[in-house]
Amino acid sequence: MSEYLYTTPPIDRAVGVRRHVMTTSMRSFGGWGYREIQVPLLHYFEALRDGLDDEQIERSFRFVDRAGNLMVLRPDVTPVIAQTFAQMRSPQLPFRVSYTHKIVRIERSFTRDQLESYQLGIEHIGGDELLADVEVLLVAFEVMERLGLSDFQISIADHHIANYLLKACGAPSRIRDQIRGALVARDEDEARALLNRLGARSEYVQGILAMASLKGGPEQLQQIRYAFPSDRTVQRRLDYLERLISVLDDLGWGDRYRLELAELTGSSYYTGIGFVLLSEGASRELGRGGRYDSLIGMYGKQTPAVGFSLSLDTVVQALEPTSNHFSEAEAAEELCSVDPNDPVEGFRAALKLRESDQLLKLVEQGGVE
Amino acid sequence: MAIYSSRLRLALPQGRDLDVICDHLRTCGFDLPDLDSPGLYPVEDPRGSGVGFDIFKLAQSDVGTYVEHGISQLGVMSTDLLNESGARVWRPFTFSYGTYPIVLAAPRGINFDSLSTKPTIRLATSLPHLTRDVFAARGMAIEVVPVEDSTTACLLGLADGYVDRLVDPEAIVREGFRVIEVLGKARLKLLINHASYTARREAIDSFIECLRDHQPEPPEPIHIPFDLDE
Repeated sequence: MSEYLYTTPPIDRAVGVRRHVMTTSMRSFGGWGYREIQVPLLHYFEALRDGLDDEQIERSFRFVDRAGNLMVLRPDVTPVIAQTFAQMRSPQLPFRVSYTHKIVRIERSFTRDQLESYQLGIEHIGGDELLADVEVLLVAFEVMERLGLSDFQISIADHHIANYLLKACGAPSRIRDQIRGALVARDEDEARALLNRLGARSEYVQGILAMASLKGGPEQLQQIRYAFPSDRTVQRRLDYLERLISVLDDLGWGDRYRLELAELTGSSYYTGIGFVLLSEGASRELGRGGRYDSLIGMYGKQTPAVGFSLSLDTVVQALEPTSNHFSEAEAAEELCSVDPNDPVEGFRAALKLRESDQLLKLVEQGGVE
Repeated sequence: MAIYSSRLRLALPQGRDLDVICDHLRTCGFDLPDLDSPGLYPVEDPRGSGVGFDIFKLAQSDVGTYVEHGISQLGVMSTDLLNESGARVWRPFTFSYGTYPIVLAAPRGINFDSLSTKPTIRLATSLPHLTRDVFAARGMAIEVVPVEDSTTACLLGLADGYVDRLVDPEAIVREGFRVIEVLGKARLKLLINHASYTARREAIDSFIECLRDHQPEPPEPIHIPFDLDE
């Protein structure tokens, strides 16, 4: 038997990184009291559709089963968990669950035909808004750090204030979507042109353009506050956001998040804060999350909730080039040869090594490895 | 997969606007030669902020994809092609040049009414998504013929008209076309990869500020050759 060093082919490395991401994330989720939940992959479309927006429906896979029911493969985990929670009898609040689940939907990718991907995430249902929002963000910070994503950043927006201003400015739904698209793209010129064409009042132009600013930061809150000095809804919401970022700053996370009020990506069910997790090593968002206070009400009793999910594939992509999670194990692996004509001795030696949890690799005696 | 580097990559679109963009960059302190051959053109710290740039040119329609996937942190692209590609990028800066009308055009003598009498209007275009969206919003059934060279498609009878960016009005008049309707405007934008901005905010802000400070005067608007002009 000899020390056996070999170069891991890329596919093995990626599988190892996936396992590392899943184990590390689930350990963090569990550490914060989030119990793992399993939900089905296949659903009755009509039962789930209220929680899916048009884009999710368009990207989903639907088919008719043998009994004539229209079925859908879950395109997103959160609506499924919301539906599951709504059917529970008197669950204890706050209700904390974690999951690692496959989703099936058409994703944007180089070929635009990626269908299956994995989401890892948590949902925090019920409880005080500020405490729950901060808790979920702290879990996200912890997971990013423990995964070794040294350059990660979380961009935080607020769907509540964006939805309110876009509705109050008088834009019809189609124009609202266009303005929202311009905000997400930080295209201030486009947003201004749309608002001017609409004839929106100057305070709305000022407030909405403050969101479109590329630079972000707490100054955005001040600009909106200044634009709507007597609007109680706006002022209350700005107070809330200032409290949230003050708590995050006091906890020492000030350099890991940035307030970016135009970061309005993600599902249309978000009603409060929304956030995306970023790293320059990943071409897409590592994950996203947010508050969805109306989603559970679509399936049962209205209950506020907040959560986030990571895209396993994107996290693996960000970690994989520099990952060393396996090299130590590989270096310690021993080669154990087995003679096909008399295999017992070889297997016995292998079993002895495994009793002490030694990593090994069986090779055929006289064969080429 | 994204590239880790302390430098910033800037992808420029090949074609008509390339020279103007290069001139604009030169006024911002970029010591940039003519981009005659493919490859990366390094520019050392043009802003004095310790960040170098690698500039390269790409097919116009590819810029968004390179920026979205982080291969290039920055790019310059026209909004019509960006919308077609569907690339998810930020576009925080509009150049004062590179604005072109997007027009519905057809051989001289054909107008909207005569097109509408056809059982199916066949339109050649390099902007199939925009064309479908515009006519779907009007409730009109059209057949989109996706081609790169839409005027040739019309000249050879593949389509009744075309939808495209109007860059050279004299050329389309020479070829016997006239504009029926202006459907929108294409504008040249600076594209930014979201994650790259998060990591390199200061360098990118400084670059945008410089572009804004040295923004050239906008050119005269393009004259649109409607049939009514004659």
